Amino acid sequence: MDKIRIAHLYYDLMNLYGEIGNIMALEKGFNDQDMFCEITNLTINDKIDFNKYDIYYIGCGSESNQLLVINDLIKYKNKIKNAIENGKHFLFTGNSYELLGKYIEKRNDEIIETLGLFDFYSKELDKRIIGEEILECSFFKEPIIGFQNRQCILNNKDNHLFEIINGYADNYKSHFEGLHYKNLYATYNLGPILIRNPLFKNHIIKEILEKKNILYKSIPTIDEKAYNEYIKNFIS
Amino acid sequence: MKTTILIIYNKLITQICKIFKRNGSVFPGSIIKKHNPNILNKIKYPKYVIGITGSSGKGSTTNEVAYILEKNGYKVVWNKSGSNLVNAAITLILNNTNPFTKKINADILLMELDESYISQIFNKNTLTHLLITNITRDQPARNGHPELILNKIINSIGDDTHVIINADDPFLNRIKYTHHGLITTYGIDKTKYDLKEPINNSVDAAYCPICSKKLKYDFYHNGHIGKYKCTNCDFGREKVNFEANDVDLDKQFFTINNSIYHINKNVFFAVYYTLAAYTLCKTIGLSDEAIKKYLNDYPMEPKRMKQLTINNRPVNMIESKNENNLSYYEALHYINNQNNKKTIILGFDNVSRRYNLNDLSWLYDVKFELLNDKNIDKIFIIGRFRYDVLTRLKYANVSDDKLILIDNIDNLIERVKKESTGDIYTMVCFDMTEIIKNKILEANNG
Repeated sequence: MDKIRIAHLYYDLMNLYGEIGNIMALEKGFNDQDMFCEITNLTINDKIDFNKYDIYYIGCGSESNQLLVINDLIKYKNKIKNAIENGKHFLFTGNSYELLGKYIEKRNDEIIETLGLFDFYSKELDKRIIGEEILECSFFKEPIIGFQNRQCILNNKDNHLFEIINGYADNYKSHFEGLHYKNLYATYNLGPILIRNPLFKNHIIKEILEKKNILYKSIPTIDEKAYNEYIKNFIS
Repeated sequence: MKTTILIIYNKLITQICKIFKRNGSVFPGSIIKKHNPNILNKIKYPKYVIGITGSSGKGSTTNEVAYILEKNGYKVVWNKSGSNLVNAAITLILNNTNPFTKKINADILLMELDESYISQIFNKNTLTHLLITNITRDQPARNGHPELILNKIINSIGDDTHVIINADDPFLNRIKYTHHGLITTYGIDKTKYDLKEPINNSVDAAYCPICSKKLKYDFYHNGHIGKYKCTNCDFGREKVNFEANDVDLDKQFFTINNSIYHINKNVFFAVYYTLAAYTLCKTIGLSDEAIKKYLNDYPMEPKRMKQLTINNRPVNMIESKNENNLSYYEALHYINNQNNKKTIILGFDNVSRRYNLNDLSWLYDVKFELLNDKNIDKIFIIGRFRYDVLTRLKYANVSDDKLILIDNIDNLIERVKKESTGDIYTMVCFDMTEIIKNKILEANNG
């Protein structure tokens, strides 16, 4: 059986809202494709190899955990940049999205330098942005459902991942949310977004399999019914 | 409007609510607040103004403390109804205040307090004591995350407040770095129920707040609560003022300084609220004897809905708290520990009673894998989010032949009768308990 390597980065710091669900979704999704998954939990002081894994995932954390993570992650800046350019898959959910920008401006005006891989910065607000999301993407016609709970806005102007149907965009003026560049996906939506959106999960799995020249098999998955029922009951 | 008039007005509205059989625990306060939002600053408080807060266990602790204090002859004004927000506090306090002297008619004001609303009820330093039970992921759509809850509590008390904390919780132990007033600590020693490894990777407060090194645990009682130590600096769960030892849930007791104290329920969190109640009473000067005599008298928790049966199968109704994954886990753990053949009814129509947002992320913070239990015959899944719950259980690898989806709640009891065996445990949210109870009664009477 072929093997897929998944790196769950900062699993013990960036896991506030059921983020483990995304790892479960990938594992089950690849297993359904007859692929064995090796999941590696990595955190501060572990050596992270940005060539080794098929997909890297970082979830959402408290603001103080986010600072601990950036202090550790920033040393990999160039390696992450190369990995992204070389087509590695990355998924950032919740406030880990902010790590990709140039800096975070805290409420006390402190500037926290972040990876600087994309041309935007984040600004911390006094009040949290919390709410349900209905989004549109370019990969399929069905809506994405999500939930946000964040402290910042950011001013990303390019490579948007989602268009807002209902909910909060990157900032109050934008109609877009998230970032999609090559095989990197970043969104403020948090929690088990891949379980709640099986089409998004399947899209990522398919892309990873294609890179390995493995044919993706379209088979029913256990989360599709929940998605369809949610759309029917709460969105239609 | 003058304070005296507002106090009388509050009492009057409460009486009118009673006459019309309306809930008068919140509404009067909402009217008074419009006239004077700072009315509670005008009151003369008794010697002890005690708050009890935390993500879980605050209601049980408050009940037990009130019982011990009242039995010891103190006149206690306390929020029996469990209403713990601003309007309820105004209603309660003014109803027990003399409109002319503006003094509260009690020796002790004891308030269960919502973590987020302390500063809206009391000025800093009004509370003489604040007991904090724990800080966990709780109502994330309202509270954000545990650190924000902790900061709200810290910002609502002054150094004149004597803080009592559960030091097994590393979040709470951080308070010693910000609070310069008195601090009393309590905790539970190693027990036979502890875990060597965390329930899952979602351990909050996993890193030292001082030097950012990962905390090392000797054991976990639950979630991030246990015995922890920083490997680099002095931060850790050190010796506490009051420690529970020899915890025995089957025999329902623990010891403090070799003296036996009973718990009124055979669950681990009962040790915490009993120990918390002991610590608080001790802190305000009660003797061991005065506490023990009544603590050991404290009424046993009635077996929930003991009278209900389906086909002579007992029904245990457990109200789940969706928004608090550790509370939910504890309830699952309780069911898991029952060694009889069992059937479970799971589900919810609303995520929370405090907000109407469909945040389902907590489903993946709860270890539903516990339901892979050979003693479970069937799990019936009900409610508006039944497909999301079903998905979670499938991800937990619960076998398909155990899972039954109920699309029409009217068929639930009949299907439970026909398709399952064993004692019945309902693990549903607040909004469905009454519905199920009525369905059982209807079925039994029909």
